[in-house]
Amino acid sequence: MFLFLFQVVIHFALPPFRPRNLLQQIHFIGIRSLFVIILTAVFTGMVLGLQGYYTLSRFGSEGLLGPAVALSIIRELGPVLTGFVVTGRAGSSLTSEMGVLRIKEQIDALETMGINPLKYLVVPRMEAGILTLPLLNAIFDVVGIFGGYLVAVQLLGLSSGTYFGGIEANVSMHDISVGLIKSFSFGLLISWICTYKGYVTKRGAEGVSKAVTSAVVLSFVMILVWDYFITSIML
Amino acid sequence: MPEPTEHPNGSTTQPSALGPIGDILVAAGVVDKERVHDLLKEHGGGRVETELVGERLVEQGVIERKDLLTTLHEAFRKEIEAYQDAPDSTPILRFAGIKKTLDNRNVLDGVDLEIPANKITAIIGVSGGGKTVTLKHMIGLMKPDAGEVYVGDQALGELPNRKLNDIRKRFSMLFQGGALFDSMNVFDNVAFPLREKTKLSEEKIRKRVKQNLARVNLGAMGGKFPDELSGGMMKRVALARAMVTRPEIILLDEPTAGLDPIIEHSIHHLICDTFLRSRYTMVVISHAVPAIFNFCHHVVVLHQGKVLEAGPSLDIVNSDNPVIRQFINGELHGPIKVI
Repeated sequence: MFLFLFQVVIHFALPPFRPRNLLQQIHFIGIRSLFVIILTAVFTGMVLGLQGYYTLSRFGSEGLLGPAVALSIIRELGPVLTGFVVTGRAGSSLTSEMGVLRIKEQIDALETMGINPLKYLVVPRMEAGILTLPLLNAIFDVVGIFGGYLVAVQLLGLSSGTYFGGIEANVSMHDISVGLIKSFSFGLLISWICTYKGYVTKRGAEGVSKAVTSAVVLSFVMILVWDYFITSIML
Repeated sequence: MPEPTEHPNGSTTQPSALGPIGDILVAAGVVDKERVHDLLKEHGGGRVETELVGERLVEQGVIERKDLLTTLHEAFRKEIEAYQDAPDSTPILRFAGIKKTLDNRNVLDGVDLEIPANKITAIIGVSGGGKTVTLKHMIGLMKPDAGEVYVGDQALGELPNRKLNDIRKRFSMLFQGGALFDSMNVFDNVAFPLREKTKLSEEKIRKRVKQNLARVNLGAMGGKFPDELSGGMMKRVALARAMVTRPEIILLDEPTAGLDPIIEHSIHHLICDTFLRSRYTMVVISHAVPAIFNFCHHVVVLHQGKVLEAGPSLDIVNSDNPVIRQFINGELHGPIKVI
């Protein structure tokens, strides 16, 4: 698996470059995940707003709801949930697509034509994963904070100045960069695991289904494990 | 005058003025030489036009398709007989003591074989006997555990990827399931190797793809996607894709598997027809016994990981070897234990 990553990373820098393939994958992983990211983000923000308000109001600290929602989303929930959503929606598709290409001998066909399948198939998918996760995460953060605003300000009557002022005062560039570094590394993790599991698929349709299950489970676990390590380093 | 054929290894072949099919039809007295000349003049000549002479004559009602197929098959039968009398072709592919173990099973157990150049060779044998593995070794998709594969004089053994890719330019392969790219339509599937591996202009690519689709009688199917095609059509598209780069060697992995007898027969004719037009070296894995003996010069019988017998197809079909006899006759009882 590490050798696979090593070979793919080497091919990042080697020609031929196929921008069209990369754009197709950015469209598939990024744009087509947008709706479900927005939906997840708005409800995550709303539930954080609701829970946070009732918890903080016990201590008379409702004014801190804005930064509580924003920091939770920007540092943790944004990157992790974006990673989960992309794994479920795009990662599983990447694995099954690569698996089908493998079992239908289309990867072998590329090799017989003298086309490196890692360069042609895997590199654009991994580049797209690495590029799109931070962008999706940024969108998740903005929409999630807006979801918190809907509940805190529109539903529970907190002033919008308190909500956004608290965010401005308490969220630093460091918090944002922690979230973006996490999402960048999750993008690499998801696309690496999902393409690898598909690429080495064996034994027909059952093999593809096992590869998809294994890719999704491993991606989820690795996102959480890696999240812990990055958090402990960058606290 | 049609332009010479350029092969990936730099060699060229000068075609005849009437083209290979035109020559056969004129020699057989099916059509006049002048009629073929007029036809070529009408279509502007060119190498591919000469190769499409047969189709054009059928389209214009000059000859019947049945006559075209019969004449070509008769010409090929004469070739098979001539090869049996003098099997003199030099080998283009050679296996020396190839061994391969997969899942703790010796799939190839010291295979020595030679594939003659510019001939059709069929590899036959029981299922699971290592035929596809043999084919994959020829093009370097699999590496042997022991032994060496030679393409011409070049050993594939420790070749770096770049050099292996240069060798692969001499090959094309038709996979068992076609291996067409699902996300592309028929036209783009056939155009794919040209777009990726050549610097031809899009106009030239379009022309060559159209000509190759016409060769396999799928000229009108360019816009269809693989899942809209029948099994036979997929194999024909895959053959068009294999021919489009004008390789020296075409490997065909069970081109007739899962097809009805009529389509199977038509694919055999197409292979034979392709050979007569272009004289590629073709290696065919087939279970279509005994039909395949009418469509190949040379046969290699693989059994229990070894070459049991190899030689001109007419010699193999008359072999006394009990394994070969049982295989050809499809008998349940014999040295091959099935049940």
